[in-house]
Amino acid sequence: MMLMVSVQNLEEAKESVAGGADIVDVKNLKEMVIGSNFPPVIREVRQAFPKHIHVSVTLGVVPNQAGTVSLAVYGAGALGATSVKVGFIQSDYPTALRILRESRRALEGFDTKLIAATFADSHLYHGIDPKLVVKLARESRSDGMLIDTLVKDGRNLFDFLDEVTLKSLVMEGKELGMSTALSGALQISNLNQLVRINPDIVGVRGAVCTRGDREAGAVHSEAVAHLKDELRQRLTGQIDAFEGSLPIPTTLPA
Amino acid sequence: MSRESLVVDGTAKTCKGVIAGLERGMSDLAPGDVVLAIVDDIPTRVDVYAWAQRKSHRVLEERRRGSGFLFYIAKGVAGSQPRSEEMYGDPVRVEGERAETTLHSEAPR
Repeated sequence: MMLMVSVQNLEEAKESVAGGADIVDVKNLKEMVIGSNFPPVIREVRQAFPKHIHVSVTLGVVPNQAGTVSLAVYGAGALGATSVKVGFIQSDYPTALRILRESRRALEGFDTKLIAATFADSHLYHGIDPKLVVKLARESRSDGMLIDTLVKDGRNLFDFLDEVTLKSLVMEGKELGMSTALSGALQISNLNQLVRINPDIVGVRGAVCTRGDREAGAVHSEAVAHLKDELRQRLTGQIDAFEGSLPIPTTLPA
Repeated sequence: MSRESLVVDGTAKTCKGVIAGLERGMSDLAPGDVVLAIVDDIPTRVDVYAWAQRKSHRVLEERRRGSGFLFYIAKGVAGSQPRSEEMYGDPVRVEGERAETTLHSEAPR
C-alpha cells in the first residue's frame, strides 16, 4: 500500500518525501477544497524528485466541459505528472464518461495515468453516485479509481461509505487491473479499516499537517513518518489490523 | 524445471497491486497451470486467498519468504467452486524455510 500525501507547494512536497511518502499529490486548497495548482508549481515539484517518487495532479471537481477538462489533463501529461485525477460532483454519468474518454485521448503519447474520481459524500451535492467509480473507470479505460470526500467538516470517508462497500469496490477495481485509491479526511484511527480494505493507495493531508489542520497547517515530515510507520506496522502484522479475525492460515513459522 | 508457468511479483512499489497482476496473468493460462505469486504484506495475503476463492483458483501451497509470502496457485476451471477447506484449511501446505525461486517471467508493472 502506497502512501499519498496532498501538498500545496514544493516545501510541503519535500516534507512529504522526507517522511516517506510514495506519492505527492499536488493540489490547491484555495480553489474549492481540492482544486488544481498552477503549472509552474507542478513542474517544480516534478523536477525536484526522481521518477520513483510519484507526482500526481488533482484537477479536483471539474466542470461539465469535456474540451476544457481534457486540455487540463493534457497539461498534466505535458508536465510529466505520474497521474492525473479527474473528479466529478454535479455531473451525470454520461457526461462524466464523455469527459474521461476525452481525457484518455488527451493523454495519448504521455506516460501519465488517468484516475477517475468520485466523492463518497456526493449525495450532499446531488452528485454522481460514488459507487459508480469502478464502472466509470472501466468504461473510460482509466488506469485507476479514487474515492475521496469533499466535505472537510470533521466527517470522513467512513461516515459516508462503510468498510464492506469500500472493500467490494476496491477488489472489483483490482480485478479489473486498476490502481485503487481511497482518501477523504483519513486519520491514523482509520488505519485498521484501511488495511483491511487494502487499496493500492491511501491518501492523506490533515493527518500529517501541523495541528492536524489541512488548511491552516502545513505538511510536516515527522507526522508523515509517524503515519507511515503506523501503516507499516499494520501491513507487517506487528499491529493486528484484523483484530484477531484473520481469515487465513495463521500458523506460518518464521 | 520450475512448476510455475508465471511469476507475479507483488513486492514492487507500484500503483497496481498483485491482484491486478494475477488477473492479467491468469487470463493467458490454461486450467491447472500454476502461478507463483510473491507478496510482502498481510492484507495482500488475505486478498490473494479471497481472490482465489472468488475465481475458483486453488492455493496449492504457501511458504514464508523472509518477511513475505510465496503462493503457488493453480488456475481453476470456470464455474468450479473449490471447497472452503482447500482455501483455508489443512490442505494448504505451509513451509517456513526461505524458498529458492527463479523468476522467469517479467513482474507486473
